[in-house]
Amino acid sequence: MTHTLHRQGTAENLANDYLIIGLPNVQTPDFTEKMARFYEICLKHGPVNSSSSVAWRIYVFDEREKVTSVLQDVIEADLGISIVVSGLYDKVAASCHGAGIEPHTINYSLGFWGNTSRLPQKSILEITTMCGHGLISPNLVWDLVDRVSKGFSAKEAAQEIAKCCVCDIVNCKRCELLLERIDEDIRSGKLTIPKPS
Amino acid sequence: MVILEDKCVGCNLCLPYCPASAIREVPDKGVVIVVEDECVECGVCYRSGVCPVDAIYPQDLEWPRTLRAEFSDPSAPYMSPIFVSQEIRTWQRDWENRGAGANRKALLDRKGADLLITGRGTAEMKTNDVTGRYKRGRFGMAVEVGRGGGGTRFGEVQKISSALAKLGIQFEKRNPFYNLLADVESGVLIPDILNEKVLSCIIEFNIPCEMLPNVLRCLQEVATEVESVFVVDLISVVDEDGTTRAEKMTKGIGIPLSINGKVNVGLGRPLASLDA
Repeated sequence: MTHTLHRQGTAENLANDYLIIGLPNVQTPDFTEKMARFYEICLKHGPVNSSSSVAWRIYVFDEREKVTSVLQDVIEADLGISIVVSGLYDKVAASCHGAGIEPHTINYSLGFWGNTSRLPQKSILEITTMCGHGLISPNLVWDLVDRVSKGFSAKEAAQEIAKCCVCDIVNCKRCELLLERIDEDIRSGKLTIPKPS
Repeated sequence: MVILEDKCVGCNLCLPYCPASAIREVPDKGVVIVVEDECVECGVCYRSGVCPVDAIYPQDLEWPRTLRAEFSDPSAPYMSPIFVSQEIRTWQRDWENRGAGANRKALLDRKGADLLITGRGTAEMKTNDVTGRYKRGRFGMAVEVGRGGGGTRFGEVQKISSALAKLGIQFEKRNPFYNLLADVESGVLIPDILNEKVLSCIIEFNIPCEMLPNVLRCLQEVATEVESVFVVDLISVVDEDGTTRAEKMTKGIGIPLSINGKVNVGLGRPLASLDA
């Protein structure tokens, strides 16, 4: 699946957005225990959001150093489960090296093709693409931006957006910062809130 | 999804939640409705809990409309009879063990550990360390139609799959999309489904590296023919020098790679061979 692949953003605002995905090898008899240990390791390092399913566990982190620490702990625990880290490539590679390992396989995004006029504005896309299944409506983001401009808490707005993502992989802290930035851009006249489509 | 007219109070709170812009005001009635043809049955409006009078109702679906939920709601199991691949059957059995036979409302009401995310594709590179699915000399690719741009219809997906099929692309059998094909050689889909709208549909395949320029050229051409947005993924194993063939080849072609993406860090065991 690709749902953490196309998170849009700048090198600056993606520097605090990492997802660690653990996938069990269901052929091994103790895979449940290994996934439970993976859960303990990730929880220890303070993820900002998390998701679990039969097929995987995903943890969202806001600091690269935490990614390095998780990898180090997973290696020490010798879990043998497949781990994927989503984030800026150079930062993820640095975390791998910090943990004494090398990247194995990379999934690159070649971006948006086709009728790209259908895409929302870049600053909105940075928020909507945090749900890889496309469940965050650009109109909802604009609606909450409007409410933030009138005094609604950006933190609560981010939490409302995050609720749309069934997989719980929205980075709420990053979302809050992005909303605040959009609010600043509106106040400074760089952006205007469009009419709902 | 349906909005019950006799319950709706026209507060419009639900409107912005719809990622497919399918909820519309009916000003002369003072209510809102779901435009059935635009609704992708993702469940976001219902799950939001924003309706103060519980007017949003998830109706049970029939073929081919079942596909809308299956490709748009990450928690909807692939129950349409066309889904026969082993991987999907595994998901179905697991869902059945959790209490199959529940109606759609019961499905959407699941939370926490009862919520089974079925996904729209395979594990692809996420387990490549232990599967060796993508070997040296080959790229994994995916075209995710509809993503980011409010969805797509299967007629649009067919334009892309037909174009790729002309190159001799073999589509990934374990991906749900494969079950939509009426003819795997031509990339033509089952005719009944072409108008069904979904949030996204992933076409997965695996090619020799040398084929990449032709595939990208094909996608550039079809990109001018579709109304939908699509994203393109490129999977490449890391060489001993720490670089990938994808980086080298796309630089030569002039296609930029994203600054972020997914990295399998090779901790799965036992490691599979990447030799062709």
